[in-house]
Amino acid sequence: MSVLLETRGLTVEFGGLFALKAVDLQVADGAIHGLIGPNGAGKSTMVNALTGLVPTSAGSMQLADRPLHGRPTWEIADAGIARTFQNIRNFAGMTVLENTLVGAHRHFRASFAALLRRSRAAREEEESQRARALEALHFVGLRGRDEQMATGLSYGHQRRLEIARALMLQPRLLLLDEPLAGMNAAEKDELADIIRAIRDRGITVLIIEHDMQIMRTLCDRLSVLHHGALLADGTPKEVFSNPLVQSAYLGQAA
Amino acid sequence: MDIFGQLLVNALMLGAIYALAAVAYTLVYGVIQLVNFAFGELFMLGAFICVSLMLPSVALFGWQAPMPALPFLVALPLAVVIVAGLGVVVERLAYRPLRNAPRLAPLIAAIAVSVLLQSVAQSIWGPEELRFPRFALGQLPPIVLFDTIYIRVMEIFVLVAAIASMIGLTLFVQYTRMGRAMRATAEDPTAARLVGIPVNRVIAMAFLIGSAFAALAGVLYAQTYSFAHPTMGFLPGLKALTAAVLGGIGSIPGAALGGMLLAFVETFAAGYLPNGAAWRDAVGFAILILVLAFRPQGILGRKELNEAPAGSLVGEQVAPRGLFAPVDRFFGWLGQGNTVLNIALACIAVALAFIITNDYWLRILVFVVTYGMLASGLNIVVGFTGLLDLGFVAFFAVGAYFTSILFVLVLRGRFGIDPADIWWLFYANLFLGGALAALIGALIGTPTLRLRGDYLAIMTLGFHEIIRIVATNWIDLTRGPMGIRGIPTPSLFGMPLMSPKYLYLLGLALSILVVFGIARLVRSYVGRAWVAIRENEVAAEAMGVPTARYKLLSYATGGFIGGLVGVFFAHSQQYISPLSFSLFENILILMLIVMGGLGTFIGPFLGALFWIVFLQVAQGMPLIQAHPELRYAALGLVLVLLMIYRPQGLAARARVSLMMSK
Ligand SMILES: Nc1ncnc2c1ncn2[C@@H]1O[C@H](COP(=O)(O)OP(=O)(O)O)[C@@H](O)[C@H]1O
Ligand SMILES: [Mg+2]
Repeated sequence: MSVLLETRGLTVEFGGLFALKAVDLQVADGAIHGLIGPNGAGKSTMVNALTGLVPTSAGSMQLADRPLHGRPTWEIADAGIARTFQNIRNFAGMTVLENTLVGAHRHFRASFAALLRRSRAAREEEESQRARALEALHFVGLRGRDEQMATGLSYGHQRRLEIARALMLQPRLLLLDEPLAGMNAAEKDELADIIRAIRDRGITVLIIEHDMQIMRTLCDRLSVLHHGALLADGTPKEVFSNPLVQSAYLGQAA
Repeated sequence: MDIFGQLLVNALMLGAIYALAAVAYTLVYGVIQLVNFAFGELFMLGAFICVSLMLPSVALFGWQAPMPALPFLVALPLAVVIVAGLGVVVERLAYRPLRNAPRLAPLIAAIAVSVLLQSVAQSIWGPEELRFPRFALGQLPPIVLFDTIYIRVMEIFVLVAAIASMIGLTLFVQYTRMGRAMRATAEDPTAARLVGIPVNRVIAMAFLIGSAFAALAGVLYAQTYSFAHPTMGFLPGLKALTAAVLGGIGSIPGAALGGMLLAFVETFAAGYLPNGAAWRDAVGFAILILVLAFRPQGILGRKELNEAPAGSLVGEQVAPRGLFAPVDRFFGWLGQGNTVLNIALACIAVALAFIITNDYWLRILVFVVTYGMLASGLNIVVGFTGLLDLGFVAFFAVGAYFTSILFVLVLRGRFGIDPADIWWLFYANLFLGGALAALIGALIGTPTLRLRGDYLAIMTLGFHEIIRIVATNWIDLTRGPMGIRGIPTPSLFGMPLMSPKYLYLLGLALSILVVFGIARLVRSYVGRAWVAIRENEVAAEAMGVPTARYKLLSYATGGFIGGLVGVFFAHSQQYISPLSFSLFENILILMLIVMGGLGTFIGPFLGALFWIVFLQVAQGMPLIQAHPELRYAALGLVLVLLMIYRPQGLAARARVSLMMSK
């Protein structure tokens, strides 16, 4: 089993506050890897650091031997890391299908001149990406909604749209920041199945989620962040029986 | 030594005034992240009100009205208080309803308010200068230092007033409850609301104090140059904004430092550079661009300027209802991108050339297509990519000057070539002028790539001013304010297209090409990348869109169209001068797009049509004949109302699809 994503000593500082403290994380290729921890533990910061949205102050990260630190966000996306956001960030002025197609940006090759002429290659490219986008929408359960405005979707459907858009990148690694938040049990199960299907397509998943019931069965491995540091790492069983983890969560509840 | 000392005094004076006005921008920006462009006009109103109060009678709306003839030291505080109140009213009426609107909405409203106030002031006090009356304090004999430096008592007064109000403000912000609440709101508005700070009152307070500072600066400025004029606030307003950005917007000491720095650079450049007085403003704006490129947060700035995405004014697709329901249904139908419909529309536009036989109205149609095309170019940047661009007219100027200089000054003037022999060059120049403008756009854009949001708008403003100053002052190249005459009309195989009918048809053909080209780019992955940047830059970047590159591409594409239209404009008007490329022109074009519908294909033309027809109709009204500036007041008012009630503009429902049609 090879390692797809690896961070070493990853550190993020916000004006004196260490949101991440020297985190060493390894995500195996083909896994569904869970990232858990109390609120404010630094989970979203981890995802933001991995996608170049917050600057790291120390440490390194790489995706299958390709160093990522210091690269701009779009390059990291191009290298094969797609993500969703904890607070949904769909494009409001666009339809569902147009939103999804933005995720395919890196696959387009047509030049300005080709677009102005609307050359055959440009048309074929657009056509094939549109077919992929419709397939992705079907896959996440948004079939038939492609013409709708993105803002008109229900909350749960907006989350699915974000996933479809991210899948259009054809990423090697998909980062999901609380994709199940605010959903009822049935919706969560449905989405968990979608996440498994994504993994079965060969895409590695790193997921942040607070529902331990779901995470126990969904994830192959779990990492626990607490106050910005990696507290534990292992199979769900190992992690949940770890006394450090129990006290971290109890400490938060108290 | 002699000139140095005098320059020092002058720089200190000007610096004090800039610093005061810069505080206005910085304070409001700090609290609600809004560049309130209207401070330049509050500055001007302060001056007018103070002068009026000091006179025994003033002509208001052309009527001689009695005035109290107050002494300066009474009129000054009174004027400041009145303008401060006005600032709060403006906030309440124009900006508060837009508190939760996309970032572009209050910015555009601020520009509209600024146009409105300036036009209203012109209606009230007339377009002429109002001289600053003599008063006792101003008549005291100057103090002479080292035999050569003359310091007037009023100059000491200006400095003391500025320093005292700065210290007062600093103490207020440090030690009063309200001041601390303001600081807390500036740090984190959401948290401030949560801990129970009355955010609305804090914002009103920021406007109150800001407007007072702007008015004080205006009075002192008018006193120094001894006049008040409706447009007097424009350039100092820009300078104050520049000073605030230089010092680090949001920081009060930064505003003071930025104001002084700018005034010193300008004053000494004017004093020591050859022909410096003409170039002083360009030097100031060049410094702004340099600072923005290398240290965007300014000298003392601590945090990033507003990074919130522009957001779409276009996005909301509410069901047609109310007043606009028929309009919405019409444009909803039009916006479906039906080929038959488009061809029908083009046919009607062509038919107009033959139906209308009156040259006067045909000439007006030439204006409509010119402005429509220009607005379409700007629409790429503002409407589709969501970047506020206040320097767009500069591209227009580049195209117009390029072709005019080439045809008139070089080919005819230097080589004696008859334009009729090289008629085809006009068509080549359409492309070359566009390409030149695009190139310049890319060069200017490159340092702004790291910048987001409002910085970009300020940068484009600086760029525009520099181009305008070059056009006005590089007389050997551009003939300066005189402009270039005798630009040949376009011709076809040596047959000049002199009549307005042919010019209109030519402009129409270009318009169709322009819209066609834009549509093909927008309906592709390029357009989707642009709109994605507008809607959410962070998400766009995370989806693999190199946002910096696409912003530059947007600038350059818009610039290309601007340059192309400049070439057409120069040849169709046969005369250009720097006046055709003023910042006001830029604002006007922006307003036309907003009125017609940002991010639609038809909107720019619709806005241009409405505006130019309105101008014609208004010419017949007696009120407008007496007060032509009221046309602009109406435009400003309509825009504020549109921002509040219908930010998507008229053609809201003509939403543009971002995909190639099958
Ligand atoms: N942009 C930021 N600036 C300052 N502090 C931040 C920023 N983003 C996150 N933080 C802080 O970093 C810590 C970790 O936040 P986050 O990663 O969002 O936690 P989680 O996702 O695990 O709930 C929190 O204390 C949060 O307040
Ligand atoms: Mg989080």
